[in-house]
Amino acid sequence: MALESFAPITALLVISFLVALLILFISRIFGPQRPSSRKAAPYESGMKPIGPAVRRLPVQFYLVAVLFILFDIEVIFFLPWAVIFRELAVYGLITMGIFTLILTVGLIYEWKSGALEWE
Amino acid sequence: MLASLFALLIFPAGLFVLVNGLAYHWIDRKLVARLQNRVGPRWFQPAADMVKLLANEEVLPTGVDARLFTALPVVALAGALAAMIYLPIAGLPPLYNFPGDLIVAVYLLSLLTLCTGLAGAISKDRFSIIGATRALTQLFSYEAPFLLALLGPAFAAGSWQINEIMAYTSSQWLILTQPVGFVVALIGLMGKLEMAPFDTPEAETEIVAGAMTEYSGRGLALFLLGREVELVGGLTLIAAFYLGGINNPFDYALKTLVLLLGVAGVQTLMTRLRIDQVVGLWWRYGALLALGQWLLLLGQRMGT
Repeated sequence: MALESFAPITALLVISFLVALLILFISRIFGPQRPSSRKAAPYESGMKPIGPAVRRLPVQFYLVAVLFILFDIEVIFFLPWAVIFRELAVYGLITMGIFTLILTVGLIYEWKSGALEWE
Repeated sequence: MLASLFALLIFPAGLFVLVNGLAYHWIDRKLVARLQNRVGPRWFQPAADMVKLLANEEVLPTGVDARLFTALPVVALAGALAAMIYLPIAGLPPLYNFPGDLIVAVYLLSLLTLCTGLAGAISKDRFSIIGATRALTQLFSYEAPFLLALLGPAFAAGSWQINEIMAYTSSQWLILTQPVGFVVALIGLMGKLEMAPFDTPEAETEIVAGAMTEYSGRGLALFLLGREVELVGGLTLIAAFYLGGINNPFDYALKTLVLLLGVAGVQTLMTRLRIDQVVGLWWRYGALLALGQWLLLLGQRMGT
């Protein structure tokens, strides 16, 4: 695939950036600017924040992220295959079927081992 | 040159999408309000909100990286807008295409969530950080099933090019042959847009505004505009793939509005899910159903 097929998207990205920046500058010119230290304090319903903002998070968030990386990379393998499955014919279908089966078994194992329970 | 600049800036991409997004945002709010027996906002309410936000002062909170804080909403809106040139907005054929543009479009559409998560994570505010964690966790849960749901049409058409898939889906309605994919894609879009049952990342009653708590004025306006653009893009994509393609402006309006009605119905019927329920729902049922349908498609192909 030629590199110039990315030219329009690059052009539009640049234009969209410019439009968004224009919005920023227009409101910077016309909007009020009266900064104060109380106004810039982190939002805490009007109170002074106590303690650090970053606190410990449940480990399940981390687990979900790791599982996602595994699963998403496996899903990526479908992408090129969906285009050329006609050339691969029966061989491609069987191998991809086995791959999907392994993926599904992994998902069920993940479910049954309690990785999705948050208690 | 001038014609393509007009197409990129005004119609069908650019300004038209922004206006369309504001209109669809209003229709969505109005539908939900009417379904809940409220009166709902007037027709210019989203536009008035935007003008108000743009006229507001932007507060730069202490302790955040000013450049990143300002740049993130810009990137979010630019990404969502850039995806529009590959989509059949307003029933016109996509402005540009190349083999594999669907993947680029899906990537650009998920840029908004990534920017939201990052925006929350750089803030020194606990509501933002909780919101950012939830937003990214939600992204992790729906993204893979959503991709699998788009894989169905691409597989059936044997291409990742949006207009080739549309040429295929125009002849047959994929919602009839791949109903599971349609449901997963539509619910995935609602998760992407953080709509009612999936609005845990910005649950107003618990964490103020989630990742966007620290944003005010134009930064918030850009984020909200990005989300409205994404609403238009997502509805167009799903209508084009599952509801028999979009070939003229009438098709476009009718099919996306029908989808919007469905989305509003789900928003009204369901209450907010907890973040672990969101994860459980997607990983248990969303992914398995999408994979199951995928296996069925595969079997069908093997049969013929």
